[in-house]
Amino acid sequence: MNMFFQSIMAGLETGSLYALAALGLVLIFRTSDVINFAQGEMAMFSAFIAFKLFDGMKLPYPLAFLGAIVFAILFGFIVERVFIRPASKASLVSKMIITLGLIMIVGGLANALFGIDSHYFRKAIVADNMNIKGVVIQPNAIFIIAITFFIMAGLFYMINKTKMGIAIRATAQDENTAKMMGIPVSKVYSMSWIIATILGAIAGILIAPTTNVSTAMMGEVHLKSFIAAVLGGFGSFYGPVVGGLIIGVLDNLVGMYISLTWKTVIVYGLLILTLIIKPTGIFGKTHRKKV
Amino acid sequence: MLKNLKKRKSILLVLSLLLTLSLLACNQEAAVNNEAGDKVEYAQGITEDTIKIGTIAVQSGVLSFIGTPYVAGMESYFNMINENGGVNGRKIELLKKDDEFKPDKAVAAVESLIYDDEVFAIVGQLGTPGVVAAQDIVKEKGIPSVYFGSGAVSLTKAGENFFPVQPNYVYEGKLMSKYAFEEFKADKVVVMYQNDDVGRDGLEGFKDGLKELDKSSMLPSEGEIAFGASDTDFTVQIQKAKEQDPDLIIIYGLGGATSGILKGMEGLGVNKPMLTTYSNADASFLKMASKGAPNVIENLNVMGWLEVNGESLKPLNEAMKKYYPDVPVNAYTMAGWVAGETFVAGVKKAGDNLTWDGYIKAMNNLKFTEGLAPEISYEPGVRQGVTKMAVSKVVKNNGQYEFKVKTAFKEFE
Repeated sequence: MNMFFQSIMAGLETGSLYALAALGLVLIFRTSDVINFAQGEMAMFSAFIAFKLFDGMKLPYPLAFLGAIVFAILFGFIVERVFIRPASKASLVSKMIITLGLIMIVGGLANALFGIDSHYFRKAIVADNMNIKGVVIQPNAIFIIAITFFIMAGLFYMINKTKMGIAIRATAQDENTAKMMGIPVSKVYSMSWIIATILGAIAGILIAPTTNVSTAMMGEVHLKSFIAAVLGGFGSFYGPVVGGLIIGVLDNLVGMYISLTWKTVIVYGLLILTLIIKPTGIFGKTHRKKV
Repeated sequence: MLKNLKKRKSILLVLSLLLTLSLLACNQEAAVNNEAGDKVEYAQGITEDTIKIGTIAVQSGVLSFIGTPYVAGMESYFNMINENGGVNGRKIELLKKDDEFKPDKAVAAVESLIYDDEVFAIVGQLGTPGVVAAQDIVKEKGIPSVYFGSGAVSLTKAGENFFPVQPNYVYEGKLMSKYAFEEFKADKVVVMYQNDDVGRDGLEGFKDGLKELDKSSMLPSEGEIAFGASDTDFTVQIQKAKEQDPDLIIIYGLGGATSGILKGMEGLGVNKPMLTTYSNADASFLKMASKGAPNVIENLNVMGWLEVNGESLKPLNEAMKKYYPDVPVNAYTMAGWVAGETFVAGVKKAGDNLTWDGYIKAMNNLKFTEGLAPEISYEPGVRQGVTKMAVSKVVKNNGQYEFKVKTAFKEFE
């Protein structure tokens, strides 16, 4: 039984990491219908900044964390201003291809600036592990799960209860009408890119102790975060979190009780089956046009 | 109309004249070589004072952390040789192609080196997918291909023009079984293996070795535990390994996943001796992995095929400092360096007989012991490359972790 709970606990932690990485993706999607394929690379870059501040400049961890957040604000602003806004009239596909190009630019820049080695980056919480009836619980895992739910709730509140949220929803629905209503659409786009980049930075820094800081650190996590968002539904903030947790836990349970060799095939086979039954994701809503 | 026809005819005439002249020129060049009295018609890529060779390695993208130090190591070696007058008076000219670790690009690069650049040999092609994809072309052409940055077992049977050096994973797995039994005195072993060619070859070799040693019971079927190369959570695998209560855990996987497993073991408090592949016998791996698993890392042992100490590494360190001061010196740099050493050893042995046959013949009786590897030898039909390996243990010395050799270099006999 211990092994069962240990697997669930680890699955929740890994799933939270996928969810954290997915929330930034979903925010940009909800504002502009664009999927930012470079979200993972941007998170990697911010994680490198935190690592360099901590390891290179020997700043205390909280300051390094804050430094990376400040960098992410600038980074998100610049990316939106330089790469996305000039293409505001382009089609959605073109915008997504720009984000694919961003992968190359950010990845190449990181390679040139930070080198090609992998580095260990400490956990956010470095307290002793707890042992509850044979199940090892790492305080850092609890922190990651908690922060994921906190951010999810924060985003949910922002979108539904604040003026900024109303502006984002209005812009997403119809950019021109939103403009006519006096919503500063450019600012809304800029803001959503900035928040998404901050979320990416938080995800990158929290994921770093698991994957190590390297230019390849987000590869697998970014892919799984994308799957989590599709599974949970791109339309909500709780969908990707639930999707991420399902993937994390299912991965471990299938590995534990069915087969480690075939777990990837089984888990993703099940996910595809889910999407066949519910193409918009578990929490996705089907919009029907009235004739 | 008539004028056009005449114009076309004259163009055709000029073209045929040019073609005939160039063919004549080619014949004359061959004749000059013959008349030089050397009685040797050199292979492509060879001139009186140069040897042109090519290498293919990933040098851009996320995997460039492997290819960049690897190529730097190889080029540093050739630079050092060239600075000291070259080999038998010939300087080595290295052409580098980047295949981005993609098999299709590797095939194109190999073809380009053979047919466009007309290199004498391919040296140190890196990456199993590309090496395996280009194998047929190299075999068909018969060009010498020396050293592969790959442990693919197929290279040992690919043909007489193939000279693999690194131990293949099947052989290493076999040797691990011998060490598990003789050195670790294990009665029960768990093998955590990367679920791809690397890990599966290692597991297969380990099981073959146990069979030959009549110790198959050492590894129960529940002890074969798979993990993915890009997995981030190894909790299930570690719990399954722990449940077996083994005397030794073998981790057959590459750096990223292996360091993830070590971190997981640290978190779950697993305290067992471990043995991993030579691919992880690298200072940068140790630096990265030890920070995430400062206690568990001291249980780690690695296989090794290079005899690395301050003295043997001196030329490499000096050359890297001179030519590539910004590139890290690690296991990949050493591998590139050995690729250079092996190729040059063959050239020295072949003397002026620099035809492909001449080079292959020279390599067929090579027994090279002056390099970083204790011995690289080939015989006609035998292409095992390095067969002697030793086990090193991670030890803490003045707060720093390092590998310390704890056994002699042994073969699986």
